[in-house]
Amino acid sequence: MNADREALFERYRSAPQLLRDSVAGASIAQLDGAPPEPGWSARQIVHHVSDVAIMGGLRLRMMLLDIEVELWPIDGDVMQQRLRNDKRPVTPALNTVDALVESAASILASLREEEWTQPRPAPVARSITVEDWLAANTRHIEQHVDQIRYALTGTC
Amino acid sequence: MSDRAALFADYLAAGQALSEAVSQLRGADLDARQSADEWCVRQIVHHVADVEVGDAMRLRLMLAHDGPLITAYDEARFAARLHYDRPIETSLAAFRTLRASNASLLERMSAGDWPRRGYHEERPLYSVEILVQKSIEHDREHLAQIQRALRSAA
Repeated sequence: MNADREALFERYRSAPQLLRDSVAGASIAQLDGAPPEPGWSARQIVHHVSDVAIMGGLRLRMMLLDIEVELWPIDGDVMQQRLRNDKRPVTPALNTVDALVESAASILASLREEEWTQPRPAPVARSITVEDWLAANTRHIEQHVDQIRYALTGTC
Repeated sequence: MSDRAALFADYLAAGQALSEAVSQLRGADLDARQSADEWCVRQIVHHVADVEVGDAMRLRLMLAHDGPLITAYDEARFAARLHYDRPIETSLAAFRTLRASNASLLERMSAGDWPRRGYHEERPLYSVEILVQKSIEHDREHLAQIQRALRSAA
């Protein structure tokens, strides 16, 4: 694994702990409090990250099978409402992110060089590589960690 | 106990039984298989974890959207492409954690959520309730397969 990819891989594996730390010690009122700007509460963001980790885990597997990566018709707000994310505890969601990231990391660690960079079919971008997947999924968690910090404290 | 409460209890129990059956296995036990054309225990653990990832997504899609397309997977390709010779720990953790996460969704569902449908590429009827039933059957089939493999190797 080259140095850039290794650094990204380590960022990806560290991201679940950043997420866990971002809500550590928050009270129920803080988790459910309205953010400084219209948007999701910290609890809802954690569930969103968990739902997307599941989606990402399945996408990685489909990519490696060369099945065209689906763009599921996900509406984040509808998902929040229908899955009752504002009512469910955050711990199972945090555990899901941990487990999905470690499971994906185990698959990634076993890939040969050509499997990282081989273009895979994708509907809009036409192709995507496993490296692209790793960058996008790392960024997604990190961006929502910033959003949680902002929701809880008003600063990132 | 209602039929759905019993189904939910079976869903939890089947996952736990499968998880407990493999959690103490090490070394040669993981490579045990009943016959040359069957998967070894290690491959079965990766398979059930991958199926649980797929089921977690299918469950969320059916709950959140009306009549989503449910893609079928070729499990033999999963085994060939996803490096099923890996250590099993992360797959076992993913299976357990996703089962708990899926259960936390199911236990909060209304009666109207259970028949919510998806359009499965290979099954004429598919719904949240059928996903749970199939998951229980799948767990039990693979638990029995693991037990046969371990007996063959003993």
